[in-house]
Amino acid sequence: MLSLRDVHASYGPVLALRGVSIEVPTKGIVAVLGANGAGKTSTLRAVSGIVHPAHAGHPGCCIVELDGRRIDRMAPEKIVQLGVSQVPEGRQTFSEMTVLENLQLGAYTRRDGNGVRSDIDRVFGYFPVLGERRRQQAGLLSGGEQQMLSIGRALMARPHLLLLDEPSLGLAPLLVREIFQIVKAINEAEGLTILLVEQDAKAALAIAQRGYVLETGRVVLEDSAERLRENEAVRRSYLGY
Amino acid sequence: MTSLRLPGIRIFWLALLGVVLVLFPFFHSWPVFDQFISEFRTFNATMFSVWLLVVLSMNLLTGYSGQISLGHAAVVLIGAFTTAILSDRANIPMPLAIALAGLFTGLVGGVVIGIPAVRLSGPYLAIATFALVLSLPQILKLEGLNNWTNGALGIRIRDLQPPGFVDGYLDKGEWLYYVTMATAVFMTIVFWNLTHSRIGRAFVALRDSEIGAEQMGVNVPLYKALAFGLSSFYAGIAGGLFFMVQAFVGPESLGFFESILFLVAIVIGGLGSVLGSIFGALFLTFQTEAIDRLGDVVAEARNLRGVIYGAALVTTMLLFPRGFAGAVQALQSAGPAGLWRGIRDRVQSLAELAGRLGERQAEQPAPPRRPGPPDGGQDGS
Amino acid sequence: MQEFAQQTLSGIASGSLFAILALAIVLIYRSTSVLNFAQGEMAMFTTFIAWSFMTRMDFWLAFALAILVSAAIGAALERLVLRPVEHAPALNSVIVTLGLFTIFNGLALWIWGAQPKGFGPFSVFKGDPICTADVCIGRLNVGILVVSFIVMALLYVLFQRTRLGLAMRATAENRLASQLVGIPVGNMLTLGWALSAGVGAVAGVLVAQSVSLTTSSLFAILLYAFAAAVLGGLNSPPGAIAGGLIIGVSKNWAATYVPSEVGNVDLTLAFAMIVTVLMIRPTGLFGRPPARRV
Repeated sequence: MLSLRDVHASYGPVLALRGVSIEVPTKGIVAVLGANGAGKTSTLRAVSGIVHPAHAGHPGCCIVELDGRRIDRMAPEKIVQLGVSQVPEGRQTFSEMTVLENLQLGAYTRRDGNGVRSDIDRVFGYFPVLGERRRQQAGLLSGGEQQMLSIGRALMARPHLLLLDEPSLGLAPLLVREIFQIVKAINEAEGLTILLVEQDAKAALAIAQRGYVLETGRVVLEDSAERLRENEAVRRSYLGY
Repeated sequence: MTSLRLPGIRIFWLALLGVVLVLFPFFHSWPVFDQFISEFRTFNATMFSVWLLVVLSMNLLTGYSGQISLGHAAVVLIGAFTTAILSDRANIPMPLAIALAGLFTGLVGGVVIGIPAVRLSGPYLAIATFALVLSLPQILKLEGLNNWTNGALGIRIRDLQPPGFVDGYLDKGEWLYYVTMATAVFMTIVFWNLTHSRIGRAFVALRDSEIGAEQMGVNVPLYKALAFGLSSFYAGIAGGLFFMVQAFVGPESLGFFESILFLVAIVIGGLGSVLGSIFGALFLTFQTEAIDRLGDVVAEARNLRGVIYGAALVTTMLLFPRGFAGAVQALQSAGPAGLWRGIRDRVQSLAELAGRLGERQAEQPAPPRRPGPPDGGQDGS
Repeated sequence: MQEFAQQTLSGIASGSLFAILALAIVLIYRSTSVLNFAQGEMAMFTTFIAWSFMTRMDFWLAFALAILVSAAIGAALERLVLRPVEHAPALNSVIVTLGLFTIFNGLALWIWGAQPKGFGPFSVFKGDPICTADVCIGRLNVGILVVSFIVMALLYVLFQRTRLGLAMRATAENRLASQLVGIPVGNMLTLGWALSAGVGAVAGVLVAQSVSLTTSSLFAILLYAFAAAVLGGLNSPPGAIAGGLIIGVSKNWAATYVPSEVGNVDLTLAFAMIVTVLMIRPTGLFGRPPARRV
């Protein structure tokens, strides 16, 4: 479904991505792992159109394709309309607005009022605690609840592809596991394709089928999740456990 | 600083400059030079020195330290009035009056403006200084202060004569030239040393990121207040010299429009450099005359002064953010072709920007991780 | 007592003018963190445009046209001039808006000259003051209050009850998240400027009704509008309204009760109020501290 080919991206003088190629099959879960500064967030930014891939000068480079269609020069709002939703790093909920308003904003690109309403109920189904707090200000929620809200908000757009940027950040391990289980359940129930960026490799590989490891903007390792989990040497040197 | 360093320009050029400066007032009476330098130019040069100090003070505050002050004209006015009151009402000799005015203004700037400024973020600071420059004329005209300020009439200088030892060598205009030029040169050297010292580096750190500076160990409140204080000191001295040269100061002498003019000067000249300050001072010295000359060619130029300056401000900010000094530096390093390419690139990115917002994001570093509310996990960074 | 009520009422009326202009300033500041120093001059400029329309057509039609023209100018400015500096340090945008200030000021002077223009009050506002229980309020002030109220109500409905308003609030609050839910952030910013310019136009026309129209009519008000915005907190629209009313009333009280020997104190008062409030609460009475960005 999603294809990154030799993508380069920079923030001013700093080259964050130096030729990253990633394939995400439809209905699959792919994990992108690596240490801080490896370029994981930049990868998701490039997909969502927040950062436009820089041109490295050689043909065949710097392409982001969604279902065969090039999206690497598109405006972010168009990419959302094409069915790509991102749960950004650090949650980034609209903290002054209520939980409900956050979800409504997630559905900004949709026109079907009834569908939106039933989707809100579905989100509350996945995350009951959000339903309990629907009229509370998002900024008052705990970290875990905000993470759930951020995921729920992304789901409201009825995406075909869900991008998750470090959902485990700042959360207790038990909560991380719970959230990841829900994400996996959503993938299985709705066939939602997932690209997951994570520092917590263990949690990510528990639900992913395939994994890529990034280091200073390049893919240094790529394999099935199972083999990555089982290879002790790989685990120690790249995944930290 | 253990000893005063001179800017690393070749000694030869410095010496040449020194000679020119010393001999300048006499140029107008020499055979070749009198074709294009009139006696009036000496007055221009005198005012140049005053404006240079004003621009330096603004650059210290805004160019180097990144503090936004719209009220700079008010600070200069305070310096001028203090000098006037001290010399006229309290009979203090002019040089001392100017020095004291400088110190007083520096103190006022550092303590009265600087310390509160510590707590105010950019926009609020801008508004507070805006309010200051708009209300100062009114404050100066208040009845209660009349004995000091003479209300709306302002203060006229008492007859100021050069000291006895120059009689026969220099007339008053030339004497004023030397006094102001010497002050300006000295204070520019001090300025240069200041900005290349630890203090100067702290200022720049402050400008680039207050939080970053804090993390680097810079005492933000202290340096912010110091920036205001030093800048106000320079402005105060400039104000005193202004009064001495103009022979008069009134509540309306320097107001909001002058503040804008100063801003135009530092932006066009080049923020944050001595060279930029020199260009800025040149602008201030000759702008009226330049517009007049332009008016001879382009009919409406005089009436469009505001529009021209405003357009200059906007265009410079968008296309040459580093002003004239920046352009000169670009010319030095990349040559005319490089300069042109830079401008062309800039125009292109502006056009793209007008088209959409996305591209711009690529140049911003990733937003900082916001620590979430404590949830039993650590914030990996 | 009568005098007091009267002064208070007219203070509220002039205060609502400051409030509207302050709202325009806050509107832009919330979404872009840019302080539009040119707000007053833009309003003045479009009021002059309205004046030139008014010589050929009905007052209300000219008023509406002026608002539209103003909105268009605001939108164009955002796209062309402000967008490059919206991400840059605050200093850059301050300089640019000051440049705009000077341009609009100079342009207006050049086009229409320095002579005051008669601008009304228009027939709607002419007539005897409306009096109840010994307290009278001029028709013009009533008009100002009514129009201001309508503007505020419309803005409230827009922001709190419409999808577009929600999107604009979201953009002001968190630009990244807004982009990620598919809000066309660029368009929202342009809209914000257009709206702000339109609101400014309303203020300009109302001000011109009270005093004659000159190139400095709005400049005089600008400080009070900024004071109102600061008092209320640059992030808070209700704060701007409260700030405007407070300043309007205080200004009137000062004019009435401060003995004339002291001299004119209105600007001094505004300055003192700004400084006092900021000393106690550096982000205004209702403002939130800005998110600190590294």
